[in-house]
Amino acid sequence: METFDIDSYLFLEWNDPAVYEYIAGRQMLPPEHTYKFYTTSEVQNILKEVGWPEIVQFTNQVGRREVLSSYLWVESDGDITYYERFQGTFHSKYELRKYPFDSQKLNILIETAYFDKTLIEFEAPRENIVFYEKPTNPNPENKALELEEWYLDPDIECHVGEYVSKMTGRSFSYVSIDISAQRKVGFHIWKIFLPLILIICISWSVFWIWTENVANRLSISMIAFLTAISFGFFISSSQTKISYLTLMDLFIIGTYIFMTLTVVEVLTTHFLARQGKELIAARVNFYSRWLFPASFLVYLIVAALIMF
Amino acid sequence: MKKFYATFYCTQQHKTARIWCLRLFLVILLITLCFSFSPYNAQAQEENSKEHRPFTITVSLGIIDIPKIDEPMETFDRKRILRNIDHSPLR
Repeated sequence: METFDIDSYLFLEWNDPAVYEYIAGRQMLPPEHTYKFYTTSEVQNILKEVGWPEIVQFTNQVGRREVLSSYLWVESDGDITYYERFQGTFHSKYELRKYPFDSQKLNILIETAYFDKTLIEFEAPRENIVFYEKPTNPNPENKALELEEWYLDPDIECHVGEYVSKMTGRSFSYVSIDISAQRKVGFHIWKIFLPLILIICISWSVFWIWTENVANRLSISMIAFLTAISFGFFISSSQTKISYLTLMDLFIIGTYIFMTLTVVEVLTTHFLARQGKELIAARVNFYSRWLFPASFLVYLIVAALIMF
Repeated sequence: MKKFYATFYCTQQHKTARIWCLRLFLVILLITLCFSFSPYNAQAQEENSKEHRPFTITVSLGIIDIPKIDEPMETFDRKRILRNIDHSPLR
């Protein structure tokens, strides 16, 4: 399970003249055209009193949603506006097979716990689900957020639907919001792919060393292999624990396999030379110079085709 | 033969009455239909349905920031759980 943190404004608007009548009828407040409540506790108490407790809940939120501020406006014609700024953690199912060239959907699911579809129906116009435009935004044309590791699609998908609860048998309205995010691959290319490619290239340098010099050839291969293994440990410690293989996993496994094959080639040529087949050993060594990189390239292409 | 005439006579006598009955029934049906489509009744139906119509809540979201994506949740997160307890010192 993967999560994401969000900081957002939430606005809810609906019409219920009974709420205004109730507040006006309490006679605790002077009669006004609009009643305004600005503290979070007061807003929650009023909503409970008028029969609108916990209007919405975020189904896929993890832990508690922290409401930083909220207000409630009740107008004489029955129009009600509820606002809150909240911070919360949400979980969303990610598909990481293409990692680190993956795109994800960050899902926010809004529904009601108390009010079924006979009482509440949601409406979420697409233009109302947006990235908040900061007044200090230096690039006003870019409507999406700027994140270090992700590109966010400015068009947020929004879907209003209905589902039948298996527990109660009643149908409820819900709003599903999907934010499309594409991972920026710069970090992975420069910090993971490039170092590993350099390590594997160093291991292939043994093909340019004469077969008789087996000790040096083996030590270069083994040092490169151990470096790759330790680098792999470092990468896996910073990655998500998932059961299936990703494109990155296939790349790392590929480097291990080809480095092992390099060691096998060194030993093979050594044994061939010892048996007096120096010419064959030299040929194998010569062909390996381009055969290994070409095979690795083909392996990467096949892996990418499988994953994409 | 006598019986035949009696039957014929009886049928002819009731035929007119039956036609009038049918006409009356059609007129009543027509009036009922007219009433059912009358504006008063339509309004009454509308008012009746208004009572049961669910409230439409318009949802708007203005996303300010997404500070973190990709946090693995495999391990037991003590801090997160403590933060969610009302009387926790971390709150």
